[in-house]
Amino acid sequence: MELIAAKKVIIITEALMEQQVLSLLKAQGAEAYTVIRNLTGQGVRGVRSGQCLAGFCENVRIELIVKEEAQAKALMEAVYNKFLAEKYAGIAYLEDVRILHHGKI
Amino acid sequence: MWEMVLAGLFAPPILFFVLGMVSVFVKSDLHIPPAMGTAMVIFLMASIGITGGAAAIESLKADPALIGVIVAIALLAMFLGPFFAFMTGTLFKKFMRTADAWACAGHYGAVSSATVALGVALASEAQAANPAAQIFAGWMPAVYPFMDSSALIAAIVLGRMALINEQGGGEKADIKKVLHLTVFGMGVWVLVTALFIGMLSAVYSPGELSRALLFFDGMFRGIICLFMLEMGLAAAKQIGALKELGKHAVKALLYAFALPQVWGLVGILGAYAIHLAMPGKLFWGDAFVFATLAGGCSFVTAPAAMRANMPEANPSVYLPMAVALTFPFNVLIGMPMWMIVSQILWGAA
Repeated sequence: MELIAAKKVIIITEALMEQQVLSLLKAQGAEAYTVIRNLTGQGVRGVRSGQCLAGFCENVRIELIVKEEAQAKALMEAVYNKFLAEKYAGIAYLEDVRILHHGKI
Repeated sequence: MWEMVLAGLFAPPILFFVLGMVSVFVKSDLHIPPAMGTAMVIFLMASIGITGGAAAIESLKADPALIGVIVAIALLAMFLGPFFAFMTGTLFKKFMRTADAWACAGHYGAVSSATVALGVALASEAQAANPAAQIFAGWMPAVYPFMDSSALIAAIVLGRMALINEQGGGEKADIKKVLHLTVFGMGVWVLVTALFIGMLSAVYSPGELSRALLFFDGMFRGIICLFMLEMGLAAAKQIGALKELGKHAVKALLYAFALPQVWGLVGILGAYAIHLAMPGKLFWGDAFVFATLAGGCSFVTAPAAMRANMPEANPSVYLPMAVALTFPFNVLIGMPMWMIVSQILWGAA
């Protein structure tokens, strides 16, 4: 099997918004993703201490693998425009990865 | 009467609450893991629901006309929720940004499960100490969703309308989403469904129900202590965020302390009016729990609803006000006061 080049989109945002961001990504055609929870940190909007009640001061990290940069950019822009531009804390960034080719992306 | 107040103030749940706050001040690493927090909420809501449902059936069997009072209280709750939200928003708008004012309005109109759970604990304690007297019938928590949904919907609709007016455009309120959250959100959903379970089991399977109640009723007193410990920790941790209130901190502090007490008293007066119209069915413990419904300031459902529907509002305003200011004041000052007023009105003092 070969290693083929792909792009990984990473979105970090408020835990409360997880379901809404995932809905948007699915509506944009994303079919597979990974979610990592219980993240803490800090940004220009303040500290995410993870010590509030009911997931309030926590973040989530959503990762998706897509083949083309154009696809990746479209996903990132959709999430940015709807959530990150003004309303909610978070960031979207892109990494280059090489995945073990399994023919499913 | 004073013995009852002292008994209330030095009850284990209150002391655990104080312990939680002290633990943060002394920088202990004591913390309640999130999963445990969720487990406690599920247990407490299920416990209040199932014992409330069983109690409701008992009371209805003894006096079927009680249903009239329950409907009246539910309608009163459905009115008071938006009323409190509207008054709070209008008051707060005078010194807060529009978005923050209406976000807080939702918090003060909606219901706090923690406050109600504590109210139920204290009321059932008073009933258990006086088995002969009629103090707390147990069904009052059932009207929770009537006040909670209506208040949050009102606050969000009014808030989004105000923002549209201010900005000349913007998103409208998504009422369906808010309704879904306030009816099917974990806490209230477990409470209401457990209530129906309690009622059904009480009618058709009382033997099994009484065995289940050994767990749900038996463990309630202890779990609420650990729950109040978590609340104390949360309240003290939010105190730091208070400085973000800036120059309005003093006004916000006064309102955070005073407003819920007034709403609680309004609740008691409303319950008293219903009691005068239909005497012999509503008791001071019921009115006291209604006060906790009215005066409590939501800090789990409302913040989530506001973050989703009013992202323009600053969580560092509404969260610390509800958690660090109002809840401790309600626990230490509000509860005893509402208890005394209920007892005086009902002539039990």
